[in-house]
Amino acid sequence: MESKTNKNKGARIHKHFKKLGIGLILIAFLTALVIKLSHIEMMPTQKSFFKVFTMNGFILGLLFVALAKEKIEDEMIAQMRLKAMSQTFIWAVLYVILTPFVDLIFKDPIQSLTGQQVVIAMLFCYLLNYHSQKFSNK
Amino acid sequence: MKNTLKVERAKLNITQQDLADKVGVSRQTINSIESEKYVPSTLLAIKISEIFKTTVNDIFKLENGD
Repeated sequence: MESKTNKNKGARIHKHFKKLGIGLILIAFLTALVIKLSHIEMMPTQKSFFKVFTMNGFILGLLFVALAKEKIEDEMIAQMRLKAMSQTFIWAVLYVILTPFVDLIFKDPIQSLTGQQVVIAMLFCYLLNYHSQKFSNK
Repeated sequence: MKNTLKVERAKLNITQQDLADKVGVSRQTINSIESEKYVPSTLLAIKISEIFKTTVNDIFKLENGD
């Protein structure tokens, strides 16, 4: 029984993208690990290319996992997603505000956050929040 | 909000999965409604009441403070 009003109209992608996302995360992580451990001599441009490649792969993988549909995408799942997103938004604001103070506490030079760092932190926060809600409702 | 979903389900002798399939949600959603962790939308409440051939008010009841 499915009606027009029951359809979740959020931006969702097919459930198979979850596996693709996990694959992308693993590839990005393993690439970064191999480059770090093998001590390969690289030009600065190659180094920055691989950094961008792994970070973007990681972000895209997390995004695929976050947006992939559940087996049954019903109203309770939609509510959980909404709650996770709103909490993530608040957490991201606090993260951006409080990170310089953490640097101050540990007497490190204050570094500004990159967009990639914030996006990864937000995606992680969203996924943790969403899955913890799902787990508590099982 | 209280509900008598478990009782109604027992009367018809149907499982959570059967009810979930009939109203188009997951078994976890039905379980959450029964354990009063989740309050369904009006649409879902009406669908559920139609399955049990009764009214929404007979299944879902407001508590003090709701």
